[in-house]
Amino acid sequence: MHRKFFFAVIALMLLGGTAAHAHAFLDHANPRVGSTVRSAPGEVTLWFTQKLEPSFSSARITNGSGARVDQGARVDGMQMHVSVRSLPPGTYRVRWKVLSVDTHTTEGSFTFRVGQ
Amino acid sequence: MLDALIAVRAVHAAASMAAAGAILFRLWIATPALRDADAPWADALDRQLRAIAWASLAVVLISAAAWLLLVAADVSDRPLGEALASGTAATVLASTRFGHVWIARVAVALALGVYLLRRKPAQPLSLPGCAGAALAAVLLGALALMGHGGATPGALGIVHLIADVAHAIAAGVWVGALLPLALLLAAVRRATEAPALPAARDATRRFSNLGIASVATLLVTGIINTLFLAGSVPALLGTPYGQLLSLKILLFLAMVALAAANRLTWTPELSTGRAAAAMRRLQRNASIEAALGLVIVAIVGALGSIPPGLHVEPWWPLPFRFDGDALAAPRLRVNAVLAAFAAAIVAASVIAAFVSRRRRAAILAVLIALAGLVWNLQFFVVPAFPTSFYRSPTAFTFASIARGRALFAAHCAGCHGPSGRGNGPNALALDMETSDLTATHVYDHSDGDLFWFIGHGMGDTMPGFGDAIDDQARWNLIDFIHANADAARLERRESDGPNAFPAPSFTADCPEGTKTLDDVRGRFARLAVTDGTGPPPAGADVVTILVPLEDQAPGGDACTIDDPDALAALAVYRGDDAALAGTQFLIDPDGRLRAVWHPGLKPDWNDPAALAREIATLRATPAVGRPTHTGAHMHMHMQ
Repeated sequence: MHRKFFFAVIALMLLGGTAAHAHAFLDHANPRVGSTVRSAPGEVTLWFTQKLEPSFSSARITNGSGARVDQGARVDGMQMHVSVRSLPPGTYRVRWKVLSVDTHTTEGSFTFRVGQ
Repeated sequence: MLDALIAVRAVHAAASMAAAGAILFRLWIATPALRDADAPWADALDRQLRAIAWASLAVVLISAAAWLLLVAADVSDRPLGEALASGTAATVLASTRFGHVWIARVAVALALGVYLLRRKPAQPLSLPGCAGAALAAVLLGALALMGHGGATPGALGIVHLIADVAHAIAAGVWVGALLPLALLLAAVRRATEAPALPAARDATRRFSNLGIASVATLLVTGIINTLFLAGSVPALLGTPYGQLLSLKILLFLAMVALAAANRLTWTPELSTGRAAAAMRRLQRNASIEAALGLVIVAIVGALGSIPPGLHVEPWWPLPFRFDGDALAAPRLRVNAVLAAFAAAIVAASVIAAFVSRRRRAAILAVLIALAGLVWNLQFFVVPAFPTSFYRSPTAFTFASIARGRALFAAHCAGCHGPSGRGNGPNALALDMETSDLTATHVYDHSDGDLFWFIGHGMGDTMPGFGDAIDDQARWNLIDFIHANADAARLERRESDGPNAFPAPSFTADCPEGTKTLDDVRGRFARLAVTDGTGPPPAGADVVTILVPLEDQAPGGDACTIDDPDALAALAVYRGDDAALAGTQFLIDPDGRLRAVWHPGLKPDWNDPAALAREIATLRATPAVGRPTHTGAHMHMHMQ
């Protein structure tokens, strides 16, 4: 009698629960999202809402013609530092993909401009 | 809808609890209680407990492997089969926190398997006994490191983690030991020798003590965790995470009610002539509690996979909400006291309904007190809408206000008037009552309320604009409405308190780099609209930021905001586009807009001495007004 009860409950358990996944959101960045800066930044920094796993978090920065202009990303807790060469004026797109420490992946992108 | 990750997490957690529960029950309850019962049924029970522990450990290991593969596939965006072959699983194990905790848990599970090889049960205080207990506790506590528990950063994160670990251990011990308790009671009922009954009493008493300690721990740590992950009543009621959490809390309370009945009603009867019936009740209650515990574990599996309520906009489900300000209002003091009194009576009556024999009287008291509570609480509620607790994502920037200004002219000025005072041509022509959007009442509504009104209309007269403009546009309009209302009050220099409104956030180009409103906090800042070189410098403790009019380039070593949106937004505060040149704005060290000046007003802010006096006056006057926030801006009217 008890055994049937338990199997029923376990079956119920497995059927329950739809899920969306938790995210490490992009909190803010420097240069600021969508902003224009007068001079080229030495590195682009992204701040996230949760701690990241370095092995599975990355970013790439491309210029107007799609060529890659970054030299790799370094994760430090909740921040990601992306080093860039000296950037000529133009629009740049930052694409990021990160894994938070509670094993959920998020990705996104934004642009910023250098110069007038 | 079956989500593999949730199912695996739930199975893994349940198996961990079953294994740890069986081991700890055997160690702390069964072995001491059955010490004197040298009977075959006692040995049979011991074998049953070991079998449960073995089987559960096997499930722990299998589900752990499945969990690892699912996570590896998830983080590498590859199908399941490739995750193992491509070495992603190995990378996860070696270099993520999840992987490290996984290795530790598998090691602990294997160690517990070794511990179980001893056929003779260990004594609670012996070395093997303590080792087994410690391993079981680690198996349970490490569950916390695999969920949201470890993700809060900083020093508070350590508090959250400790609370989570304690929560996992207490839950695992309590729920995990319920099935063994039911088995023990079943064995005692089937036993034919007389000494069985004292053993049952002893076991039940020990379990009861364990249960009380667990429930107390679960209460305290549960509250802490709720604060960290849900954080607010709107999040509890209005987000999927919060609603699941509320369900979990209700089920927990049901379990506690059953446990209380066991402890207070049925356990004492084991010493009377009605012992057999009492034991049947106890066994049944323990089984029901175990089932409820399993459902809670399933809910926890789901909770671990969805965004915590803190990060999600709540969709408020009720047509009203509590107004915090009203609780402090002097004229409502009597009602507040009566409400508190009624709430206390409700709580006391609910407890009495459980523990006393006069159940009917207690339930009647609950109903009467509840009616009194609701009657008094009605004075403290205000209308609320599904989006009332939404927060604006715009950060109150110049760009947002400027866009809002354009949108207002296009969609709202017809009825509300060009400056929002309720005197638009449509309103006058149709003789409609239209809100003056510069009135103080605007501040009584949250951003989310205004978001709802703009989208869905209000009453019979205002139509909804949700289809005409997108969500972002609605937030821009709200920023304009607030800036416009602030401007009106700044101009009127209202006597109901020194003016202190949030200053719009800006980004200025300075010689030493970019500066935002947050960067200049701690000092006074002056924004000066200029058509030339700007005002004379005001001293080292004031940051002057120039906002040049079109086609001007002051250059040099001043901070500038070269942005047509800034001009459009500042024109809202000035109230007049044409006369913007020379206008100056003072922002205090807390980021609040305190005063506006334009050429022609006395004293003349271009005179450094006069400006210094103005700043000294502002410094000395306490600012009471809408609070400011860095980052995402909340316009809720709070004390």
